[in-house]
Order: sequence, then structure tokens, then C-alpha cells
Amino acid sequence: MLESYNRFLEENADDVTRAAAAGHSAVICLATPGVPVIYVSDVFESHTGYKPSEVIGKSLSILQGPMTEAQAIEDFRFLIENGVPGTVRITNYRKDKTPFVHECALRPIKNAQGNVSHFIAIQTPVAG
Amino acid sequence: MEDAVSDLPPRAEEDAYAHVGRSLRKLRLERGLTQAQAARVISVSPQQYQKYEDAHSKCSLNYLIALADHYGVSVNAFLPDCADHGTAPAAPQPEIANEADLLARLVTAFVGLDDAEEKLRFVQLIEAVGSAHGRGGE
Repeated sequence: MLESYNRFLEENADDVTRAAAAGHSAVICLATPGVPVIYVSDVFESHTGYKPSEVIGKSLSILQGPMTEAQAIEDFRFLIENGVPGTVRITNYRKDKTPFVHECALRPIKNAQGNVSHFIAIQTPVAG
Repeated sequence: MEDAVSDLPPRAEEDAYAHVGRSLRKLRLERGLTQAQAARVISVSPQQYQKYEDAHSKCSLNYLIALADHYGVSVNAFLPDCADHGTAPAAPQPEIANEADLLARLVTAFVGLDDAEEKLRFVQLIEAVGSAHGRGGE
């Protein structure tokens, strides 16, 4: 499975997402099914404290903790199950267990057959 | 809303409200709102609003109209099979050119390229634009 993620990065997403990533937002690529992380931009580590190697192949639920809103998790599930775009505000946790709030804009990427093969998530911290 | 579906058989009515609930959630998330923010639009509690999305309560038509107005869509956007009932289709939504949408389009366009050389030129173009922008900002 990891081989296919790597192939996707090599052939498609890596340079594009790196080139397009804006300064303070982290870019995360998720694959379907199961939506494991297959790519995170450099900013992700400064947001969360996790190195790419610590999250690649894992679920983003690694960021969740006691204050993570159940409603936000349900909203993510809705977007992923239905393959539709949306933005969710969620409280997550850094590697050092401190909470932070961010907005996560999720966008489906469809393959040539019209099926959702990946999601791109843009994670932007919310001030205050 | 209750008037609109009151003549339906019970199962069809359940399906209709489930559809309304999914539409409420879909449009809210497209706009990046929390349930609490959507609840404020129609002056109900977040708990009550959640019941509308989960189809545990019937969302009244005046609430749907208020939400449709807030989202800039026709109220038909919440209802199932409007076209079959001879109602006007929802007005097309303006394109929301935010960062995530643009990035998704960028990646989709990139994935659509077959040739490796074309892909390289595509990336070089983006990098060149980014570099020029960086110099311009100094």
C-alpha cells in the first residue's frame, strides 16, 4: 500500500503541493480508502510537532484528544464518505499534548474514472 | 417544510427529512460553518440544529428559507427531487476561489497530464510564478 502512496507522490502531488502550499497553512494529502496520510508539507511539523515520517501511513486521528469536538469528527466523516468539499473547525493536539484550533478545508481529488482517489486538506491555525 | 411533505407516506417523509438533514450539513460545511454558527442564523440552540441535520427533528420551512438566504442558494437546494415536482432548479452558486479549491483544481489538472515532460513544465511554471511573486514582495 505504501508503495502506491509513494508512486502517487512521485507522479502527481508532491511537487505541485509543495509549489502551491501557502506560508502558514499545512497541506496534507490523504488517500482512499481509509484516508491514511500520504504527504504533509513542511509547515505541518511546525503546527503539530510531528515529523512527516511519524504520520505518513497513519490516520489524522493521531491528532485528536479529549477536547476534540465529536461533531467535527462527524463532519469529517460526512465529507469523506460523500466525497464532497467542506471546511471543519476542530481542536486537535500537538505531539507535546497541547491543544490547538485550526480550520481544515478538505477537497476531494477524483481520478480519470471520476472516483475520489485522494483528499487534500489545508490546515490553517485559528488565531486566539 | 412540514406542509411540503405532510402528504407523503411515513417512509417517504422520513427519507425526505433525512435528505434535508444531509443537505443542511453539506451546505454548512461547504461554507465552513460550525453547527453553532448555523444555529445562530435561525436563532435555535446548537442541540436543536443538530437534530435537524440528524433528521431527529423536522426543520420548518421558514428555517430552511432563512438558511437558504444566508447561504445564497434556493431553498430547493435542501429538498429532494425538486426537478421532478416542476419547481425551479437552484440558482448556480458563484465559484468560491479559496486556497483549498484552487489547490484541488491544481492537483486535478496536474493528475490529468499524461506526459512526464508536461508535468515537469507545469511544476516549473508554478515555481516560476511563485518565485516572481516572492521577488515582487521584497
